[in-house]
Amino acid sequence: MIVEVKNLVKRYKDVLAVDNVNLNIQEGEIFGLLGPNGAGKTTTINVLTGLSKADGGEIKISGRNLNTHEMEIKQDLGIVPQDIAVFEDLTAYENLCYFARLYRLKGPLLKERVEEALEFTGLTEKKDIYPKKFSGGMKRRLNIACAIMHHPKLIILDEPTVGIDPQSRNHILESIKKLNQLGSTVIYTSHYMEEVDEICTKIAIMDHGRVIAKGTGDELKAFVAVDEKVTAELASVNYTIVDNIKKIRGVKDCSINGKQLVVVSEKHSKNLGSIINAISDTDTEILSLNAEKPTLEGVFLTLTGRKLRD
Amino acid sequence: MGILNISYYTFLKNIRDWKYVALLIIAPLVTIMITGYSTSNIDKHTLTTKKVIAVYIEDKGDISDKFNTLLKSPDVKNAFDIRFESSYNDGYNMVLYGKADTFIYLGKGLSKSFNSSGNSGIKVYSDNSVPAAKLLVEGFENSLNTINAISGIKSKPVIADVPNAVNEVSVQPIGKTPSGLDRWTYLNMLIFLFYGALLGSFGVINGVRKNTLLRFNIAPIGRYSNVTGQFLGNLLTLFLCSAVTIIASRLLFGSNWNGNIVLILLSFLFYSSISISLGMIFGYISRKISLCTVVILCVNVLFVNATNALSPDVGFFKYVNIVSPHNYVYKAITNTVFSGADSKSLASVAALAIEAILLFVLTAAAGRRRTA
Ligand SMILES: Nc1ncnc2c1ncn2[C@@H]1O[C@H](COP(=O)(O)OP(=O)(O)OP(=O)(O)O)[C@@H](O)[C@H]1O
Ligand SMILES: [Mg+2]
Repeated sequence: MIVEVKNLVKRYKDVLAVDNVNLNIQEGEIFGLLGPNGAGKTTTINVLTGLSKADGGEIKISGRNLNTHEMEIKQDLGIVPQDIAVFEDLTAYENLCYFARLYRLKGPLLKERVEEALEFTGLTEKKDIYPKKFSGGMKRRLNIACAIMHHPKLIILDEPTVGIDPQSRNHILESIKKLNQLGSTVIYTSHYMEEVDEICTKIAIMDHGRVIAKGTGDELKAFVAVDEKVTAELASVNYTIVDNIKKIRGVKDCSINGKQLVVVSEKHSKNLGSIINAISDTDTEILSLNAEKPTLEGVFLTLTGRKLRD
Repeated sequence: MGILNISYYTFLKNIRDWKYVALLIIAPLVTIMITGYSTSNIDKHTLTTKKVIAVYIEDKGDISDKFNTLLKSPDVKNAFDIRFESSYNDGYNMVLYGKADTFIYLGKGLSKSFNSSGNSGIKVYSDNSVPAAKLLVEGFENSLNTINAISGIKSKPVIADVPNAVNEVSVQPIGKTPSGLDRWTYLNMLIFLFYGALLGSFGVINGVRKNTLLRFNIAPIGRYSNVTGQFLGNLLTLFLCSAVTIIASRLLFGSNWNGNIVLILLSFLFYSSISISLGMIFGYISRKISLCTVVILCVNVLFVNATNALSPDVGFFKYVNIVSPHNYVYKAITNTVFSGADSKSLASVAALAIEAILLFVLTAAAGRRRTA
C-alpha cells in the first residue's frame, strides 16, 4: 500500500472541505479522484503532501508518517499542482534545472533527467523559450515536466488537463500512462469523467468533501442501475422490427417514434449486434445509430441527483 | 546546496529584469548627474561672492605696515574683498548699510601703544557674530605675539609667517568637506538602493501569486532554505548594484570615494541586507505589492530626511537616526572619506551589522515554511 488515508478531516473555518475520507492506493495503480468543483480534491492532495495540516485522521505514504519522515517522503513525491507553478522569467530549461536541483539532482544526471523530461513532454524544441510565451497547453506540459525529473514513486496530478486543446490533452494522458508503465503510482484528479474512465485503474468519486463511491470504472458503473439505450434512425418504418427486437435477450422495451427506433435493454446485455441484425433482416436501411452505455456521469447523477458539470 | 541553488536563480531573475537595473543603477546615476552637477555649480557661485571687508588704517607705524602687507597678500585677497576707506565714518557706514561684512579700524598711535603694552587694539565692527575678518585679525595678533616672543631671542622678526596663521582660519583645505556632488552621490545612492527592498517584496509576493512557493514547500529542502536562498540572491543583486554605482559615479562624475574602501563596501553590504530584509518582511506580512511599495516609500523618505546630510541631528530625527540605516551609512562614508576617522566609521558599520543581523532573523522567521 503506497498511500493509506484514514478518516481524514480538513476544515476551513466553517467549510468542511474534507469530511472523513478514507483512501487506500496500491502501488502501480492510476488512481482517479473524480469530483465536481469544490468537492475537496485539491484539499485532500494538499493534506496528503504536507502542504496543509489535517484537522484529523491519519496519513501514511509508503508505510511512513509524513510528520516523522518528511524528507524521505518528499523525495519520493512528484506533484503537478492544479495552478501552473513555473517561473515566467526563466526559460523552460532553467525552470527544470532549478526544480531538479531541489531534489538533489546534479551533474550529468541532472542534465540527463532534464533532457528526458523535455523529451517526455514534447518540449525539447522549446527549451530555451520563456514560459510567458508558451501556449496554455505547453505551460501545462512544462508544469508536469517539473515534477517528474527525480523519478518519483508517487506522482500526483491535480487537474493537469484543465483548459487545454484536445491535442495537448491526449499527449498528457498518454504521458501519464507511460509514467505508470515506467513504475510510478499515479493519483489523478479531474472533473472530466471521460479522462478518468480512460486512464484510471481505480476511481474514487468525491462530493462535498466525502468519498461517495470507490472502485474500478466497471464496478462503479455496475453499481448504478442504469439501462442501456440504443436509438436508431431508420429510412422506413416497419413494425415487424419491434416484435423481432422484443424477442432479443435483455431487451426491456422497444418503440418506434416517427422514424426513430428506441430500444432499452438491461445493463451489460451485449445485444447491440443482435439488434442490428434484427433491423437488417427486414431490409430496412439504418441512417444513424447511437448506443448509450452507462457512464461515470450517470453514476454521479444516480448518486447525487446532480450532474458532474453544471 | 539547496540554498545556493535558490540564490543563484533568484539573482538570475533579478538581473534579467531591466526594471531593476533601471531603478537601482541608472536612476541614481541620472539623479546624481542632475542634482550633483547643479549643486556643485551653486557651490562655486557662493565661493566667488567673497566677503567684503572695509579697512581704515589711520595709524602710521610698523604694526600697521605689517597688517597692510598681510591684507595685500594673495591668500587674503583670494578669501576676501578688501576695500580701503579714507575715514572711520566711511568704513563704519559700509557695515551699517550692509555693503560690507566687517569694518577693521586701526586707530592713531596703535603701533606705538602695542610696542609698549603688547595689546594691538585693532577694532573689528561687524553685523555678524563671528565674522571671518575677526579670525583674520586674531590670527594676525597671535602672530605678532609670537614674533614678539621670538624677536627677543633672535632679534629678527619673520613677517612671512603671518599669512600662515591666517590661512588656518580662513580657508578650508579642499576635500575635507563633502561637496554638493559628493553629498548628492551618497544621498541618491541611499535613496534608490533602498528601493532594492522591492526585490525582496516582489520575490516573496510573486512566489505566492504565481504558485512557485508551492514547489519549494513540497520539495525535500529545509524549512529555512527558500527564505535564506532568496535573501542571499537579492542581497547579491543589490550589493552588486551599489558597487557598480560607486564605480560609475566615480568615473563619470568624479564623486569622492577616497576613504577606506573596505568600510565603504561593508556599509553598503549591510545597507543592502537591511533593505532586502525589510522588503521581504513587508512582503510576507502584507502580501500586497502596492502596500509594500507605499510603506517602503514612506520609510525611505523619513530616513533620508533624518540623515545628517539634510537635517540636524536633534529632536525627532535624532531618535529616527538611532535605527536609520541611511544615516549610519552616511556617517560611515563621510567619516572615512572626509575625516579619515576610520574608527568612527567602523562604529557606524558595526551598528549597521547589528541591524542587518536582527532583521535577517526576523525575515527568516517570517518566511520559514509553514503548514497551515
Ligand atoms: N484556502 C482556503 N480557504 C478557505 N476555503 C477553502 C480554501 N481552499 C479550499 N477551500 C474550500 O474547500 C472546498 C474544497 O475545495 P478544493 O479546492 O479542495 O476543491 P476541488 O475539488 O479541488 O475543486 P476544483 O475542481 O475546483 O479544483 C471548497 O468549498 C473551497 O471553497
Ligand atoms: Mg482543485
